[in-house]
Amino acid sequence: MPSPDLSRTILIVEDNNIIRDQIVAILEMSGYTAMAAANGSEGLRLACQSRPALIISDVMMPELNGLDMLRDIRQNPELDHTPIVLLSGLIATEDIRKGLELGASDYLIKPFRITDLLQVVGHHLQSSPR
Amino acid sequence: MPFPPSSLKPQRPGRPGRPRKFSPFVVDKDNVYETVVEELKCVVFKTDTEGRWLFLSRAWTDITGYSVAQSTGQMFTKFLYPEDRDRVMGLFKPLIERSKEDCRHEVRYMTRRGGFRWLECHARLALDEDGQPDGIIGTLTDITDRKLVELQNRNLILAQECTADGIALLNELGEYTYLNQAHVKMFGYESAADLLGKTWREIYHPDEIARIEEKVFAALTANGSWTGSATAKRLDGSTFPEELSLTLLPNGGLVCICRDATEKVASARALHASEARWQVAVESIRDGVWDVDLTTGAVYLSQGWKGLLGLSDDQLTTTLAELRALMHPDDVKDAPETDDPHCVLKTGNYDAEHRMRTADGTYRWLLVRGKALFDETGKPVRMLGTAADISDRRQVHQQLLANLAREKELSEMRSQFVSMASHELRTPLAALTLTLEFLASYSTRIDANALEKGLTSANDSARRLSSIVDDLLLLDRVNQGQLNCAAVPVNLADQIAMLASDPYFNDAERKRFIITCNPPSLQARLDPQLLRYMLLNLLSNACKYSADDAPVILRVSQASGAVVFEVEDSGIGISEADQARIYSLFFRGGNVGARPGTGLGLMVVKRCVEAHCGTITFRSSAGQGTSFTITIPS
Repeated sequence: MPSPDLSRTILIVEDNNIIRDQIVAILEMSGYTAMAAANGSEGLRLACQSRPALIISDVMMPELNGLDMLRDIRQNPELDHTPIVLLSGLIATEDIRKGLELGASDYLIKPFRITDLLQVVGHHLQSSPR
Repeated sequence: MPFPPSSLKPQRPGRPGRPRKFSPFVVDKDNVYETVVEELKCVVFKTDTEGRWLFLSRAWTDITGYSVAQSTGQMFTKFLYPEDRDRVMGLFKPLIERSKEDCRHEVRYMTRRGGFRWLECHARLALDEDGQPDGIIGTLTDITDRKLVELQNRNLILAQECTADGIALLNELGEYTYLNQAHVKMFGYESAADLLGKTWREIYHPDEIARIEEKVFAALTANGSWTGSATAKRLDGSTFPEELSLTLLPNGGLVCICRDATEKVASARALHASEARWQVAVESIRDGVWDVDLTTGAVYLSQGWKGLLGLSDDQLTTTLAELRALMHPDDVKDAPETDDPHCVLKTGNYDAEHRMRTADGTYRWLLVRGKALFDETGKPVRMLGTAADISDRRQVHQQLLANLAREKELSEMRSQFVSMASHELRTPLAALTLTLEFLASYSTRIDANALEKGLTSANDSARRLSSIVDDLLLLDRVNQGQLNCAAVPVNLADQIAMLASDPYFNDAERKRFIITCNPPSLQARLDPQLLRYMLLNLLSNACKYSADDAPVILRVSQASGAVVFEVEDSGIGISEADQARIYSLFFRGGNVGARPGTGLGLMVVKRCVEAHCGTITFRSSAGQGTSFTITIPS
């Protein structure tokens, strides 16, 4: 089995197993390499370990939530340029503003369509320095 | 004015001042008269025709302090009190003009120490052998003491006549021997003569005479004096109240000092009437009236005031310190001090709301208002005011504040709920739509396993959505007060078996359940729908708030006339601070982190339990786990 192309590796951090599994499946169908974590702590550990090209993360999760994980990643010099897309059911502009302030690159509001997901992913991977 | 005029006669040279006719004063050293003269208390003197002292006996020194040697040869006028000089010259004039044999007058001589003495001068002209005047001889007697007594007496009589008090002297028969003008006028007479020689009975009515003779005289005899009041009678027969002071004299007579007390009695009556009105007003209003003497701390409280606190009359609070002791400790700082003040007293007004302890130990809120009275130096000396019970108003006020706070909290919770509900609904909705879109988009590229997995996911998401909608609907029924319990006989073992396989839970969760039902044939009358809701909630919470692989225990058992459901986990627990509020609408514990939830579940569970007339309790400690117990009477 060939080693994964890190420039097309995407980390999905989501506590809802259905959404998590579907995103993984969709991304793999589209030729990306996907890895998954069920909460922020696990996501942070995997990010440090695998240096994905893009991170897609839910906001409300047990252990470490999406915003806290985002803050930790942005403070890590190895990861601070990694684009992060937040997934959230929160429609309050205040939460979106908070995410963008902490350094989120983009956001998707649940429920979202597959095309929205792929469009955002394509956009950030092209613009990514890696 | 020279004394005597030089026209009288020139002195004969060689024998100056030597009298001829009064041989006793033409003294030889050995003369027995000299001794007599020197021993006299009065001054024996002789002057020459010009008025120079030729001779002064030793008494001169005793009286004036000037020595005889220094005084002899000096003009006698030099020793006169300045104001008396002209008068004395005038008095000597007829003597010198020989129109009178002698003269007698009272005159002041200065003393060596700067004062003066009153001397009575008795003088006559001294004639020489030819019958010509050659000076004046005479005596000077010290009458200073007598003059002082006279002066005092004059002042005393003047004072007696000036005073507004009536003064009278009575002899042992009770007859007036002296009355001052005030006394005479007080009783309506013109002159003292109208009453002199008459008895005191003249100016009293028979009833009063009887009283005085019986009671007053008894006290007078016993004590030597008596002071009191009496009703006196004027000349025209009218009466007036009189303040009377009587003192017995050694000779059996009496000194009487009296005063017309008409105005005093009238003002005392007016004051009494005013105080009585005030008292009636004070005691008849429901509010309390208080009066504090700030200089002594003495306190007067009306019956109304004591009534406010349920104090009886004998539970008098008489000092400010005692009053302060009744105040709620938190409110004492606002109260007036005896040793001033507090800025509140500087303005002269006191206006505060504070709590006071009642007889039964509870506190009432009083609105206390007062005004300070100041002395002439501007120091507050007294405070007067009212107190009204405003406990009801305060209670309403506090209730309003509590309601407002609750409303604010609810509003914050609602907005939190909207946010949570949005997340809660959107997450399964996203899962559902994503799954369906995935199945539709990639139907040609996925295998049968993936298809089945996708359909199961879609199903799970739809059920999750459905259960959230159930929560919201049940909550709405609770809010509408329509949560009715449709109890039917239920086999609990069957119910629990259904619960364990309820699609609400995923496989991972089901694997954690440890469920027991004892006895297995346990029956109860319950609403199956509400029972399912209660247990689903508690089990779901137990899973959600504990580790992913930690067991979740459900025990169903029987206890005296009731069924007991116990759900136990080893999760994050509920902090002590949160324990009182966990059944509140939208409330979520401070330690839940990002675990999804709406803050509805436990509140609705409690309502479901109550609909069964049951109880719900819990034991929990943060980090250790939680155990909920529902007891429902069977």
